[in-house]
Amino acid sequence: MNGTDHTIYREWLDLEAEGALPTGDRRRLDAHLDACDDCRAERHRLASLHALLAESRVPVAPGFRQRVMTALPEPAWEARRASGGRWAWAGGLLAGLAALTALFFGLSGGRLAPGASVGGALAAVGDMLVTAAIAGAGLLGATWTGVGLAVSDLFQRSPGTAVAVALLAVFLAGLTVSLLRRPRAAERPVDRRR
Amino acid sequence: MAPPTDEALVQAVLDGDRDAFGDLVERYQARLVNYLFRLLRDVDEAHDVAQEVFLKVYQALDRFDPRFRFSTWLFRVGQNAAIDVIRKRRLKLVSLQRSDEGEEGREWELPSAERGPYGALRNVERGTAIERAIAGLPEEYRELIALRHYGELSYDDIASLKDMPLGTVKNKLFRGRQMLKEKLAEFLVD
Repeated sequence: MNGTDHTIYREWLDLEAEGALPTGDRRRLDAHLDACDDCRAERHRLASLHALLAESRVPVAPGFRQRVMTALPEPAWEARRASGGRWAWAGGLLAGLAALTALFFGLSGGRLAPGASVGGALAAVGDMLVTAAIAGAGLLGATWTGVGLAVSDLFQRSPGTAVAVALLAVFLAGLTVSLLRRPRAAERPVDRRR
Repeated sequence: MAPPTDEALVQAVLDGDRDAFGDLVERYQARLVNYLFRLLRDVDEAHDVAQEVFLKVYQALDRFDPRFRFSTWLFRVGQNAAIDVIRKRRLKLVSLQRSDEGEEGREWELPSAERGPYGALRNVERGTAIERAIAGLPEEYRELIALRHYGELSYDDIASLKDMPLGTVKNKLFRGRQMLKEKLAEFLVD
Protein backbone atom coordinates (compact mmCIF):
# COMPACT_ATOMS: atom_id res chain seq x y z
CA MET A 1 0.00 0.00 0.00
CA ASN A 2 1.31 3.46 -0.81
CA GLY A 3 0.85 6.60 1.28
CA THR A 4 -2.68 7.23 -0.01
CA ASP A 5 -5.47 7.48 2.55
CA HIS A 6 -7.67 4.54 1.64
CA THR A 7 -10.47 5.33 4.07
CA ILE A 8 -12.77 6.82 1.47
CA TYR A 9 -12.16 3.88 -0.87
CA ARG A 10 -13.05 1.44 1.90
CA GLU A 11 -16.30 3.27 2.46
CA TRP A 12 -16.98 3.21 -1.25
CA LEU A 13 -16.23 -0.50 -1.40
CA ASP A 14 -18.72 -1.03 1.40
CA LEU A 15 -21.37 0.91 -0.50
CA GLU A 16 -20.48 -0.90 -3.72
CA ALA A 17 -21.08 -4.25 -2.04
CA GLU A 18 -24.53 -2.95 -1.08
CA GLY A 19 -25.20 -1.71 -4.60
CA ALA A 20 -25.45 1.82 -3.24
CA LEU A 21 -22.40 3.50 -4.75
CA PRO A 22 -23.20 6.47 -7.02
CA THR A 23 -21.90 6.23 -10.59
CA GLY A 24 -19.39 9.06 -10.27
CA ASP A 25 -17.79 7.53 -7.20
CA ARG A 26 -17.77 4.12 -8.87
CA ARG A 27 -15.64 5.43 -11.72
CA ARG A 28 -13.14 6.89 -9.26
CA LEU A 29 -13.16 3.66 -7.27
CA ASP A 30 -12.52 1.56 -10.36
CA ALA A 31 -9.61 3.79 -11.30
CA HIS A 32 -8.18 3.33 -7.81
CA LEU A 33 -8.69 -0.44 -7.83
CA ASP A 34 -6.71 -0.73 -11.04
CA ALA A 35 -3.68 0.42 -9.10
CA CYS A 36 -4.30 -0.90 -5.56
CA ASP A 37 -3.87 -4.57 -4.67
CA ASP A 38 -4.97 -4.04 -1.06
CA CYS A 39 -8.28 -2.52 -2.01
CA ARG A 40 -8.91 -5.28 -4.53
CA ALA A 41 -8.33 -7.83 -1.79
CA GLU A 42 -10.62 -5.82 0.48
CA ARG A 43 -13.31 -5.97 -2.18
CA HIS A 44 -13.07 -9.77 -2.20
CA ARG A 45 -13.20 -9.95 1.59
CA LEU A 46 -16.32 -7.80 1.64
CA ALA A 47 -18.05 -9.94 -0.99
CA SER A 48 -17.06 -12.97 1.04
CA LEU A 49 -18.51 -11.45 4.22
CA HIS A 50 -21.81 -10.68 2.52
CA ALA A 51 -21.97 -14.25 1.22
CA LEU A 52 -21.17 -15.64 4.66
CA LEU A 53 -23.92 -13.60 6.32
CA ALA A 54 -26.42 -14.62 3.65
CA GLU A 55 -25.42 -18.24 4.15
CA SER A 56 -26.15 -18.02 7.87
CA ARG A 57 -29.84 -17.24 7.44
CA VAL A 58 -32.04 -19.85 9.02
CA PRO A 59 -34.78 -21.51 6.96
CA VAL A 60 -38.37 -20.84 7.91
CA ALA A 61 -40.13 -23.86 9.35
CA PRO A 62 -42.30 -25.67 6.79
CA GLY A 63 -45.95 -24.77 7.19
CA PHE A 64 -45.25 -21.51 8.97
CA ARG A 65 -47.60 -19.55 6.74
CA GLN A 66 -50.36 -22.07 7.34
CA ARG A 67 -49.71 -21.93 11.07
CA VAL A 68 -50.17 -18.17 11.04
CA MET A 69 -53.26 -18.30 8.86
CA THR A 70 -54.87 -20.93 11.07
CA ALA A 71 -54.21 -18.82 14.16
CA LEU A 72 -55.70 -15.65 12.70
CA PRO A 73 -58.48 -14.45 14.98
CA GLU A 74 -61.60 -12.61 13.91
CA PRO A 75 -60.13 -9.28 12.96
CA ALA A 76 -60.57 -6.63 15.60
CA TRP A 77 -60.83 -4.04 12.87
CA GLU A 78 -64.10 -5.49 11.65
CA ALA A 79 -65.58 -4.88 15.07
CA ARG A 80 -64.01 -1.43 15.11
CA ARG A 81 -65.47 -0.67 11.72
CA ALA A 82 -68.90 -1.84 12.85
CA SER A 83 -68.48 0.17 16.01
CA GLY A 84 -67.41 3.17 13.94
CA GLY A 85 -70.56 2.69 11.88
CA ARG A 86 -72.68 2.66 15.01
CA TRP A 87 -71.04 5.85 16.24
CA ALA A 88 -71.59 7.45 12.86
CA TRP A 89 -75.21 6.40 13.02
CA ALA A 90 -75.60 7.81 16.53
CA GLY A 91 -73.85 11.00 15.50
CA GLY A 92 -76.14 11.31 12.50
CA LEU A 93 -79.17 10.80 14.71
CA LEU A 94 -78.03 13.51 17.07
CA ALA A 95 -77.30 15.85 14.20
CA GLY A 96 -80.77 15.14 12.85
CA LEU A 97 -82.31 15.93 16.22
CA ALA A 98 -80.35 19.15 16.34
CA ALA A 99 -81.62 20.07 12.90
CA LEU A 100 -85.21 19.28 13.90
CA THR A 101 -84.82 21.38 17.01
CA ALA A 102 -83.53 24.31 15.01
CA LEU A 103 -86.37 23.86 12.53
CA PHE A 104 -88.94 23.78 15.30
CA PHE A 105 -87.76 27.05 16.71
CA GLY A 106 -87.51 28.56 13.28
CA LEU A 107 -91.15 27.71 12.56
CA SER A 108 -92.44 28.78 15.95
CA GLY A 109 -90.34 31.97 15.98
CA GLY A 110 -91.28 34.76 18.32
CA ARG A 111 -92.63 32.59 21.11
CA LEU A 112 -89.43 32.68 23.04
CA ALA A 113 -89.16 33.33 26.73
CA PRO A 114 -87.89 36.86 27.27
CA GLY A 115 -84.77 37.14 29.37
CA ALA A 116 -83.75 33.49 28.88
CA SER A 117 -80.13 32.88 29.85
CA VAL A 118 -77.43 30.24 29.34
CA GLY A 119 -77.35 29.59 33.06
CA GLY A 120 -81.02 28.91 33.07
CA ALA A 121 -80.67 26.50 30.20
CA LEU A 122 -77.86 24.63 31.95
CA ALA A 123 -79.96 24.44 35.05
CA ALA A 124 -82.68 22.92 32.93
CA VAL A 125 -80.23 20.35 31.58
CA GLY A 126 -79.28 19.59 35.17
CA ASP A 127 -82.91 19.04 35.96
CA MET A 128 -83.12 16.68 33.04
CA LEU A 129 -80.14 14.65 34.26
CA VAL A 130 -81.55 14.43 37.77
CA THR A 131 -84.79 13.25 36.33
CA ALA A 132 -82.97 10.63 34.28
CA ALA A 133 -81.23 9.42 37.44
CA ILE A 134 -84.57 8.90 39.06
CA ALA A 135 -85.51 6.82 36.07
CA GLY A 136 -82.56 4.60 36.91
CA ALA A 137 -84.18 3.87 40.24
CA GLY A 138 -87.15 2.39 38.49
CA LEU A 139 -89.57 5.27 38.10
CA LEU A 140 -89.76 4.85 34.37
CA GLY A 141 -93.10 6.45 33.73
CA ALA A 142 -92.39 9.44 35.93
CA THR A 143 -89.01 9.79 34.28
CA TRP A 144 -90.42 10.14 30.84
CA THR A 145 -92.78 12.76 32.13
CA GLY A 146 -89.90 14.47 33.86
CA VAL A 147 -87.73 14.36 30.77
CA GLY A 148 -90.54 15.77 28.76
CA LEU A 149 -90.97 18.59 31.25
CA ALA A 150 -87.26 19.30 31.37
CA VAL A 151 -86.94 19.43 27.60
CA SER A 152 -90.01 21.54 27.36
CA ASP A 153 -88.56 23.87 29.97
CA LEU A 154 -85.30 24.05 28.06
CA PHE A 155 -87.05 24.86 24.83
CA GLN A 156 -89.16 27.55 26.45
CA ARG A 157 -86.20 29.26 28.05
CA SER A 158 -83.90 29.57 25.04
CA PRO A 159 -83.99 27.90 21.64
CA GLY A 160 -80.40 28.92 20.97
CA THR A 161 -79.18 27.08 24.03
CA ALA A 162 -81.16 24.02 23.09
CA VAL A 163 -79.51 23.99 19.69
CA ALA A 164 -76.10 24.52 21.31
CA VAL A 165 -76.65 21.58 23.66
CA ALA A 166 -77.61 19.36 20.74
CA LEU A 167 -74.51 20.39 18.76
CA LEU A 168 -72.31 19.84 21.81
CA ALA A 169 -73.63 16.29 22.05
CA VAL A 170 -72.72 15.68 18.40
CA PHE A 171 -69.24 17.10 18.96
CA LEU A 172 -68.63 14.87 21.98
CA ALA A 173 -69.76 11.81 20.06
CA GLY A 174 -67.34 12.64 17.23
CA LEU A 175 -64.49 13.27 19.66
CA THR A 176 -65.05 9.91 21.33
CA VAL A 177 -64.98 8.14 17.97
CA SER A 178 -61.73 9.81 16.94
CA LEU A 179 -60.07 8.92 20.26
CA LEU A 180 -61.16 5.29 20.00
CA ARG A 181 -59.79 5.02 16.47
CA ARG A 182 -56.40 6.63 17.13
CA PRO A 183 -53.48 4.09 16.77
CA ARG A 184 -51.10 3.59 19.66
CA ALA A 185 -47.91 5.59 19.24
CA ALA A 186 -45.62 2.59 19.66
CA GLU A 187 -47.19 0.83 16.73
CA ARG A 188 -47.81 3.77 14.48
CA PRO A 189 -46.26 3.19 11.04
CA VAL A 190 -43.03 4.97 10.33
CA ASP A 191 -42.91 7.86 7.92
CA ARG A 192 -41.01 6.76 4.80
CA ARG A 193 -40.94 10.19 3.25
CA ARG A 194 -37.77 11.08 5.06
CA MET B 1 -47.60 -8.96 -14.26
CA ALA B 2 -45.97 -7.15 -11.37
CA PRO B 3 -46.76 -8.60 -7.95
CA PRO B 4 -49.15 -6.52 -5.87
CA THR B 5 -47.60 -4.00 -3.54
CA ASP B 6 -47.77 -4.46 0.21
CA GLU B 7 -50.24 -1.64 0.41
CA ALA B 8 -52.49 -3.27 -2.20
CA LEU B 9 -52.42 -6.54 -0.26
CA VAL B 10 -53.32 -4.73 2.96
CA GLN B 11 -56.26 -3.11 1.22
CA ALA B 12 -57.34 -6.48 -0.18
CA VAL B 13 -57.35 -7.95 3.34
CA LEU B 14 -59.40 -5.03 4.63
CA ASP B 15 -61.83 -5.60 1.77
CA GLY B 16 -62.35 -9.15 2.95
CA ASP B 17 -59.69 -11.17 1.10
CA ARG B 18 -58.15 -13.05 4.01
CA ASP B 19 -55.76 -14.98 1.76
CA ALA B 20 -54.04 -11.74 0.80
CA PHE B 21 -52.67 -11.67 4.32
CA GLY B 22 -51.13 -15.07 3.63
CA ASP B 23 -49.26 -13.46 0.75
CA LEU B 24 -47.90 -10.83 3.11
CA VAL B 25 -46.81 -13.56 5.52
CA GLU B 26 -45.11 -15.42 2.68
CA ARG B 27 -43.37 -12.26 1.57
CA TYR B 28 -41.96 -11.37 4.99
CA GLN B 29 -41.73 -14.58 6.99
CA ALA B 30 -38.08 -15.38 6.20
CA ARG B 31 -36.90 -11.86 6.80
CA LEU B 32 -38.82 -11.45 10.04
CA VAL B 33 -37.86 -14.85 11.45
CA ASN B 34 -34.19 -14.25 10.66
CA TYR B 35 -34.23 -10.77 12.13
CA LEU B 36 -35.87 -12.06 15.31
CA PHE B 37 -33.49 -15.00 15.43
CA ARG B 38 -30.53 -12.63 15.49
CA LEU B 39 -32.07 -10.74 18.39
CA LEU B 40 -33.39 -13.69 20.38
CA ARG B 41 -30.82 -16.34 19.35
CA ASP B 42 -33.39 -19.09 19.51
CA VAL B 43 -34.93 -20.43 16.31
CA ASP B 44 -38.12 -21.76 17.86
CA GLU B 45 -38.70 -18.62 19.83
CA ALA B 46 -38.04 -16.53 16.72
CA HIS B 47 -40.81 -18.44 14.93
CA ASP B 48 -43.20 -18.06 17.85
CA VAL B 49 -42.58 -14.34 18.14
CA ALA B 50 -42.84 -13.90 14.37
CA GLN B 51 -46.25 -15.55 14.48
CA GLU B 52 -47.33 -13.25 17.29
CA VAL B 53 -46.12 -10.27 15.31
CA PHE B 54 -48.11 -11.27 12.25
CA LEU B 55 -51.23 -11.77 14.37
CA LYS B 56 -50.74 -8.43 16.06
CA VAL B 57 -50.28 -6.67 12.75
CA TYR B 58 -53.37 -8.40 11.37
CA GLN B 59 -55.44 -7.21 14.29
CA ALA B 60 -54.33 -3.63 13.72
CA LEU B 61 -54.41 -3.69 9.93
CA ASP B 62 -57.09 -1.03 9.65
CA ARG B 63 -54.73 1.36 11.39
CA PHE B 64 -52.08 0.96 8.72
CA ASP B 65 -51.62 4.19 6.81
CA PRO B 66 -50.74 3.40 3.16
CA ARG B 67 -48.61 6.54 2.99
CA PHE B 68 -46.10 4.60 5.09
CA ARG B 69 -44.18 1.40 4.45
CA PHE B 70 -45.67 -1.85 5.63
CA SER B 71 -42.21 -3.36 6.13
CA THR B 72 -41.04 -0.72 8.61
CA TRP B 73 -44.27 -1.07 10.54
CA LEU B 74 -43.93 -4.84 10.64
CA PHE B 75 -40.32 -4.71 11.81
CA ARG B 76 -41.10 -2.08 14.40
CA VAL B 77 -43.75 -4.35 15.89
CA GLY B 78 -41.21 -7.19 15.65
CA GLN B 79 -38.55 -5.16 17.39
CA ASN B 80 -40.93 -4.29 20.23
CA ALA B 81 -41.99 -7.90 20.57
CA ALA B 82 -38.37 -9.04 20.76
CA ILE B 83 -37.61 -6.46 23.43
CA ASP B 84 -40.60 -7.72 25.43
CA VAL B 85 -39.29 -11.27 25.22
CA ILE B 86 -35.84 -10.20 26.29
CA ARG B 87 -37.30 -8.26 29.19
CA LYS B 88 -39.19 -11.33 30.22
CA ARG B 89 -35.93 -13.21 30.27
CA ARG B 90 -34.93 -10.76 32.93
CA LEU B 91 -32.14 -9.33 30.90
CA LYS B 92 -31.38 -5.66 30.94
CA LEU B 93 -33.24 -3.51 28.43
CA VAL B 94 -30.08 -2.70 26.57
CA SER B 95 -29.17 -6.29 26.48
CA LEU B 96 -29.38 -6.99 22.85
CA GLN B 97 -25.71 -7.30 23.81
CA ARG B 98 -25.94 -10.37 25.97
CA SER B 99 -23.23 -11.55 28.26
CA ASP B 100 -23.66 -15.16 27.18
CA GLU B 101 -21.89 -16.93 29.96
CA GLY B 102 -24.32 -19.77 29.53
CA GLU B 103 -23.88 -20.02 25.79
CA GLU B 104 -20.15 -20.00 25.39
CA GLY B 105 -20.10 -23.65 24.57
CA ARG B 106 -23.13 -23.59 22.32
CA GLU B 107 -22.60 -24.53 18.68
CA TRP B 108 -24.47 -23.13 15.72
CA GLU B 109 -24.59 -24.97 12.46
CA LEU B 110 -24.99 -23.10 9.21
CA PRO B 111 -28.21 -24.11 7.50
CA SER B 112 -26.60 -24.19 4.07
CA ALA B 113 -24.70 -27.26 3.14
CA GLU B 114 -21.09 -28.14 2.84
CA ARG B 115 -21.66 -31.86 2.51
CA GLY B 116 -19.74 -34.66 4.13
CA PRO B 117 -18.21 -34.96 7.60
CA TYR B 118 -15.63 -32.28 6.98
CA GLY B 119 -18.22 -29.99 5.47
CA ALA B 120 -20.51 -30.48 8.46
CA LEU B 121 -17.68 -29.61 10.81
CA ARG B 122 -16.88 -26.50 8.81
CA ASN B 123 -20.53 -25.52 8.89
CA VAL B 124 -20.61 -25.80 12.66
CA GLU B 125 -17.37 -23.84 12.96
CA ARG B 126 -18.53 -21.09 10.69
CA GLY B 127 -22.04 -20.98 12.12
CA THR B 128 -20.67 -20.67 15.63
CA ALA B 129 -18.13 -18.06 14.54
CA ILE B 130 -20.77 -15.94 12.83
CA GLU B 131 -23.08 -16.24 15.79
CA ARG B 132 -20.37 -15.14 18.19
CA ALA B 133 -19.09 -12.41 15.92
CA ILE B 134 -22.53 -10.84 15.64
CA ALA B 135 -23.32 -11.34 19.31
CA GLY B 136 -20.01 -9.68 20.17
CA LEU B 137 -20.83 -6.49 18.31
CA PRO B 138 -21.87 -3.45 20.31
CA GLU B 139 -25.64 -3.27 20.43
CA GLU B 140 -25.99 -0.25 18.15
CA TYR B 141 -24.12 -2.07 15.38
CA ARG B 142 -25.63 -5.49 15.96
CA GLU B 143 -29.17 -4.27 15.62
CA LEU B 144 -28.44 -2.50 12.35
CA ILE B 145 -26.59 -5.53 10.99
CA ALA B 146 -29.60 -7.67 11.88
CA LEU B 147 -32.00 -5.27 10.19
CA ARG B 148 -29.87 -4.98 7.06
CA HIS B 149 -28.52 -8.51 6.54
CA TYR B 150 -31.30 -10.59 8.07
CA GLY B 151 -34.34 -8.30 7.88
CA GLU B 152 -33.10 -7.15 4.47
CA LEU B 153 -34.42 -3.65 5.02
CA SER B 154 -33.13 -0.82 2.87
CA TYR B 155 -30.96 1.92 4.36
CA ASP B 156 -33.90 4.31 4.11
CA ASP B 157 -36.20 1.93 5.94
CA ILE B 158 -33.66 1.38 8.68
CA ALA B 159 -33.22 5.13 9.05
CA SER B 160 -36.98 5.50 9.43
CA LEU B 161 -37.33 2.58 11.79
CA LYS B 162 -34.48 3.63 14.05
CA ASP B 163 -35.23 7.32 13.67
CA MET B 164 -31.64 7.96 12.62
CA PRO B 165 -30.20 10.14 9.86
CA LEU B 166 -29.40 8.14 6.72
CA GLY B 167 -25.71 9.05 6.98
CA THR B 168 -25.55 7.64 10.50
CA VAL B 169 -27.07 4.37 9.34
CA LYS B 170 -24.52 4.05 6.53
CA ASN B 171 -21.67 4.87 8.87
CA LYS B 172 -22.73 2.42 11.56
CA LEU B 173 -23.28 -0.38 9.08
CA PHE B 174 -19.85 0.30 7.58
CA ARG B 175 -18.24 0.13 11.01
CA GLY B 176 -20.24 -2.92 11.99
CA ARG B 177 -19.12 -4.78 8.89
CA GLN B 178 -15.51 -3.74 9.48
CA MET B 179 -15.72 -5.32 12.93
CA LEU B 180 -17.30 -8.46 11.54
CA LYS B 181 -14.59 -8.70 8.91
CA GLU B 182 -11.93 -8.71 11.58
CA LYS B 183 -13.75 -11.27 13.71
CA LEU B 184 -14.42 -13.56 10.77
CA ALA B 185 -11.13 -13.02 8.95
CA GLU B 186 -10.26 -16.73 8.84
CA PHE B 187 -13.46 -17.52 6.96
CA LEU B 188 -13.14 -14.75 4.38
CA VAL B 189 -11.51 -15.06 0.98
CA ASP B 190 -8.98 -12.42 -0.10
